[in-house]
Amino acid sequence: MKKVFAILLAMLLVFSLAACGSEKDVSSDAAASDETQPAGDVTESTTGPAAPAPAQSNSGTTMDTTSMPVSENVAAERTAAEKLSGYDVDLDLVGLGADVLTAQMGDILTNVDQYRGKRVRLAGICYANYVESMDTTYNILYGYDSTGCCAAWQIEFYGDEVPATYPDYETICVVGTIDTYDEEGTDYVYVNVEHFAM
Amino acid sequence: MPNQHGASLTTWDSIRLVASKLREGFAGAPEKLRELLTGQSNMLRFALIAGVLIALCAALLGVTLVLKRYSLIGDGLSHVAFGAMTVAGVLSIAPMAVSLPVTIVISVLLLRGDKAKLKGDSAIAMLSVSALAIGYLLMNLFAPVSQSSNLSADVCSVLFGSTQKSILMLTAKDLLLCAILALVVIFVYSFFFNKIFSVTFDETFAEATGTHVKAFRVLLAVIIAITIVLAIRLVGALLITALIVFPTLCALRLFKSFRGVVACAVVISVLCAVSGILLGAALGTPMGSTIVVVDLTAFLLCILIDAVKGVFVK
Repeated sequence: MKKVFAILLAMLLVFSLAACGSEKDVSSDAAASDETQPAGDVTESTTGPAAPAPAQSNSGTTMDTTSMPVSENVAAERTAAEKLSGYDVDLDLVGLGADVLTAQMGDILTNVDQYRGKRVRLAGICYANYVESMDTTYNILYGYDSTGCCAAWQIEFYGDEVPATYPDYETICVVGTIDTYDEEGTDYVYVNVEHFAM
Repeated sequence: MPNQHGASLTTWDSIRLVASKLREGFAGAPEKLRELLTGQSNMLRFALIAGVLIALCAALLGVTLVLKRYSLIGDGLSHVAFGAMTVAGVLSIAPMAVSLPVTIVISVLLLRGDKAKLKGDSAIAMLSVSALAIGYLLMNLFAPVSQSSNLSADVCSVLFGSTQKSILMLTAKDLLLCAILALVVIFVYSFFFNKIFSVTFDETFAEATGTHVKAFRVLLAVIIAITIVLAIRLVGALLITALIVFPTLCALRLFKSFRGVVACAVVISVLCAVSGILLGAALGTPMGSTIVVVDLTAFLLCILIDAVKGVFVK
């Protein structure tokens, strides 16, 4: 019985290793499946999902991810982030896992003194929040953790590069420095935007 | 399965999407981890230090708990800690100030031994579900006046160790407190190792040889409670049992002596915790669940090693 068990477990291990395929197989499958994927809900996005840009792998060579299936918001984030990929930053928050990003943003908001003046690259969903009592429009950049419900982060962003109007709930990428401003005795953290991409 | 924008994906597309996300995660992992470990934020560094200490404590106590057939006590005490944290939240007191003493008291009551009228798994079950229900009820009742803006997030964080109050959100003060408590546990366990060994295997014999068994039971209960409260931060209240049980079960497959089992359990626990934290950071997966999955994988590997050993070594 033990011999059978050992052989079974060894076979399972071998099969799991044998499942490692080549990217060539994925790309040919992806081309076929893209044609059959049903159209998404276009009311929230004025453009369809863009082809994901090639991402940098750890060896320094470019990994072609154009054939890999991605969700719409990931594709939009990549497109926006790719436009601002050439800038030197102290903290690159693009490409972090949702949970890690949420924790990182929490760290920035809690320990802002540690991050003040640091240049960051950050992507997320934007919306303009007009508060009548203050007669002020606040530009908000936010995102969720991986479950999409439990925790969210948000930060304000301002700068000359930010368009006066932009469509709400679009994915954008900004490069800027972390700073704070005072409003009615309370410090608010924001990104002083130097570069903006949508 | 609809995605965030309402588009429907076939099951196969969903699987490929997740697989590609994991593949990209692995590909970019070294770069991402290097940035997180050497960058501005102390997040991952603090998480690793705390993770190692908590895993070490959990492994040490796990051996005693598993051998005494108290594996589920971690679950029971973690639910009690959850209930206590809720009460602390309602009263606007620091969570640890309420959860630690309450968990210690309940732990001592649970591990009293023969004198208890309600003992063993019934006591654990009763306290566990009661505390969980009371905690969630209080959270909902006091939600309108709570300082928390997102109850689901708070519940998820404590139960699963997800984002908000997770191991990634430790401040320097939190880390210092965690380190002090962990070092207390490690010191007590090391100093009283022989006594704990005899109390674990045969309390009657230990009593006969002059060991004050009741006192050691209380001491064990206290350090177990401390470890549970610390471990909630790492893996969440629902997954704590994994930290306690898996390393011991792995070690029992590989070693026969008590010392060997303890040492092996510690090594496996720490390795799994570090791997889980780094994998979670690299792949963007929840750290608590990732650590438990790594623990499970280690356990399956140990079963395989034991089975192969059994085949070739009669």
